[in-house]
Amino acid sequence: MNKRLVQATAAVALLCLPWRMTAQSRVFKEVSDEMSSQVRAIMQDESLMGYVVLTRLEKANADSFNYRLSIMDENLNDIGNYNFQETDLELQQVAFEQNVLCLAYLKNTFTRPKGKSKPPKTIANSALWLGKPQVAKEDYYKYDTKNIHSFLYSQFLDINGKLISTAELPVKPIYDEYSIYSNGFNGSLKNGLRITAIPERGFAYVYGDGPSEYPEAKQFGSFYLHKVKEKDGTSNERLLVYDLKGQQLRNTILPREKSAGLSVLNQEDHIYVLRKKIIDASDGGFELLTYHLSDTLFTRTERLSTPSGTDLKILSFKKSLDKDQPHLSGMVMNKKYTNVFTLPVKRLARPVYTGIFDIRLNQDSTNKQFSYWVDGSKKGVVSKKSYINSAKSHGYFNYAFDDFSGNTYYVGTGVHKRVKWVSIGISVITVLPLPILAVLGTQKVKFGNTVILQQTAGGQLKHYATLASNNSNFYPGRVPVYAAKDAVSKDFFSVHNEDSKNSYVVLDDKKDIFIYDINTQKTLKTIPHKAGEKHTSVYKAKSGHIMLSEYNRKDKSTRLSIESL
Amino acid sequence: MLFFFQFANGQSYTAAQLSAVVYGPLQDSLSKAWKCPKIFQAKNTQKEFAQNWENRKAHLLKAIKNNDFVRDTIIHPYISALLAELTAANPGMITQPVHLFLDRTVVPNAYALGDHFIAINAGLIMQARDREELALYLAHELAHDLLAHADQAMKKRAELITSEEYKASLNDVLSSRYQRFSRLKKVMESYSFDRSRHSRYNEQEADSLAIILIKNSSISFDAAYFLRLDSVDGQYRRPLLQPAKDHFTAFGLTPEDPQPKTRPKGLSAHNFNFNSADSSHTADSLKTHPDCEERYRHNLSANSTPLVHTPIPAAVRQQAVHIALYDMWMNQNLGHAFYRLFQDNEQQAQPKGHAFLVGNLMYSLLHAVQTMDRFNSLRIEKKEEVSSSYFELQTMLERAPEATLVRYCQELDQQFTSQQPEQAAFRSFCARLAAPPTEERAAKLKAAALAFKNSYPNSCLTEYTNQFIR
Repeated sequence: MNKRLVQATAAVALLCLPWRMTAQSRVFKEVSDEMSSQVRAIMQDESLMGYVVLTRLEKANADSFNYRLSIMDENLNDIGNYNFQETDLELQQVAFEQNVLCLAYLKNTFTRPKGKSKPPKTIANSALWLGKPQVAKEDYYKYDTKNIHSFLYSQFLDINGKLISTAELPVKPIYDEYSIYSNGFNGSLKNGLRITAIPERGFAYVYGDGPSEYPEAKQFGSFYLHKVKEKDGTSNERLLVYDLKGQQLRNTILPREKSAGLSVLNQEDHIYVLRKKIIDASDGGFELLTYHLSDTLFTRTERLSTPSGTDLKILSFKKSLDKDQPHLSGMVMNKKYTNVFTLPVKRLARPVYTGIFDIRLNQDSTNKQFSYWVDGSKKGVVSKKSYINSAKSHGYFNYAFDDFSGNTYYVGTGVHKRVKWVSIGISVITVLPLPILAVLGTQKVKFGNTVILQQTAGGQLKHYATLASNNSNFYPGRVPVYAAKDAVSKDFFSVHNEDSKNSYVVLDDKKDIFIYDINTQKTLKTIPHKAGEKHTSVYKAKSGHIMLSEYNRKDKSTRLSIESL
Repeated sequence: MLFFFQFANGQSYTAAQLSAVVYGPLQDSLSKAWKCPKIFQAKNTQKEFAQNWENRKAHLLKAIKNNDFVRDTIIHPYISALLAELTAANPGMITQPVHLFLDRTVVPNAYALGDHFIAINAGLIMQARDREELALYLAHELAHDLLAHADQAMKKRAELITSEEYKASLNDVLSSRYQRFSRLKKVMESYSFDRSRHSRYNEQEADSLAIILIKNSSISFDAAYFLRLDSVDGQYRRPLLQPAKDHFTAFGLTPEDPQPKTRPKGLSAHNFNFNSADSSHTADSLKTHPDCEERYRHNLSANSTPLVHTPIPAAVRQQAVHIALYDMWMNQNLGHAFYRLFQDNEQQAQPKGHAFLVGNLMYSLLHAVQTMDRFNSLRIEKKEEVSSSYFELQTMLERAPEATLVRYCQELDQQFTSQQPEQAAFRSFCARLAAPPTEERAAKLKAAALAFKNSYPNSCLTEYTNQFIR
């Protein structure tokens, strides 16, 4: 009869007892410190199917660890476990097709460093902190990167956690030779791995390894705390295809290009690889590579541009909701402003983009739609100077999605430019107007309200909605965009309800989470990140839902909840 | 008579009968009187034991403060009379007065806290078929109390944790370079195994003594009661006789089709091997109770002849249902509450008070949706773990948009007629929840909650409205 009470008491006792006694406290702390977990969503195209939690339990021997992989459905119910032993693993991506889970890891074998050391101070570090050299508080472990061997390691499991097969391929990641952990270090692929499910056939991977080629990586190298070591050799980008049993069907090296990112989608017999080439630090330089699943000779490379050759900035590369076909959408760039992030913020009140586009891919045809405002043809919606009249602001767009009716939406932040009358006033009443204006500037910019443009399935451009968001403070007009990055480029994601065919946009803003209902063009909910001791975060979840994670600082507990919209 | 008066009011108990009020004055004296005895010479063992003792006391005091218990005027006197009968028949064994708590929870349970405190919950009273079955459960807990099993468990725990052997096994974990988690798990499992083994032995011992206590009091004993314990966790696996949708219709609602138009995506829609994934499965060695079959066989020879089965009064059973349903409602366990309410409906053909409660549950769900707490309020269950009826209900409640829930609440309001001003006042308070949640609405709700509390200070419904005052 008292079964539940006894069980509960025992559980509480087991949890509480260790913290009451020194020896136990120590053993529990040391054992739990050794454990770490990674959570990844299981995706099939744009649908979230469930979650996996990879827990590194302990060192099993000198070279490997014991891991537990927990598989959960989309409601966070446990449905399977898989325990295994492996060397250092970093879970990259999880895909799902035909009851088969495909998990891809970056696997490393290395000699564990023995002693701790301080990482060297760099000039870049000193400069970044305005003359205050940043000194690492923790002691770091230094790895001998020459002795690190890395692999792209894949596991294929059924959803109960039964292993079907594994696959392994050597890769050359970029390493950070210093780490605060002796059990693992920071390594990453030059172009992060992307996986797409190929219906009824298997999985397609794209990734790039070798040294980073992105100029900004060196330019902004000071953002790294430690010097990044690159393994010798050249960069490679690959397309891999595995079948549902984990057999490799294809291993293709992509044509050599300096690139900064890859993505992949499948449509029947075709695999589309989107690649961001590095061209003078431009936001453009996207190209689409097409491969055939069975015809290894068939390839097609298309630079993504307007008919007149202007580069496009891709904001979205997903399967369309209405036709389940690969769909690209984004902004038409302005040749004058190739890299928006290096511009002063006041320039965002100029036509940094000249229009919008969406491209629908089919095996046999490509349907492209462009709407330009720079020619003055969309005056009623967006002016020549990219001013959106009904929103009373300019817009910086960084997210796009489509709905079930084939309309495409471009989501961004309102850009509000004002004249700095104070600095002009000071310069007028003082004897040194020009130097004062040069220092203080004459313009200021603030960012606020979410602006949504719509390109209908028929190609008509509309200002769809302007909805509330957290407003930033005014930035001096000369501040570069990257310095105001958090205020300019906000985190949006879309949620679609396949049953009601409604779409929502979630904005994870600085102070609040905003949920916009696209059909009613209204703000559905505003959830503050901080409310008393609680801090709420938002994540993608199953169809028509979002996941809220509520961390209670007082209780040190996290409460997850999957809420329908 | 009192029962009918209370249910006509839609109340199963009053706010003054909740434990924080009814046992409130006792808390200080209990805290002082329940002193840890000195039983160990070794300082650290005694310290550990004292800590366990204090934890147990804190657990009970917290439960009282949280209103986990209720001292109502229907069940409590009924169970107390049964307890008095057992006590009176065993004067040689039961020498101290036994304190009885009525726990409000729904999952059938009874427990002995030690030092003559025992508790039985509403779920167990709902589950029991007759008075004799309840007497067995009470006698079993009395036996645990007489045999001081709770105290013994604390003593054993203190001894084990301060033992050299235990410390050595922990040090062994610390000194090992590899497999530390596995080693610690092994230590903990052996500890749990030892505890479970003792617990199973204690249960057998309590069963044997319970039968003696029962037989001394001339209450009939039937070993078959042990077999019924197997079904305590299966409430949501039992299908409804009618679809969940029809139950709502019976309350005047026109529910939307719960079936999604498109096949839901997600792993829950795929087939998987349920048995291998069942994380709630307990290894045999870790079971705290002997198997029900084993308990039945072991005690079959003690069966009374003839077997007497005295029905539990309908008022007691109905009161248990109300207490449990209200507890689920107050604890925002809404999916389970709807289902248990429908199950009870099928057994008793819409008992009084259910029409009021179904509306309250719907308003609570609406409030949960508004505060983005639907997932935890419904406690989404795997379809493999519940009946198809439960899954249908869960799907319907999970998918209903906010606007639909507002409509449901309004429809239930239109159908609900009550002569009781308290119920009408409560529902007019709830009706404010249909408005979009704004700061202005929060202020209005707070004012309305205060007004309700002032008008009906003794209403158990203030437990719900108080959250809006806070």
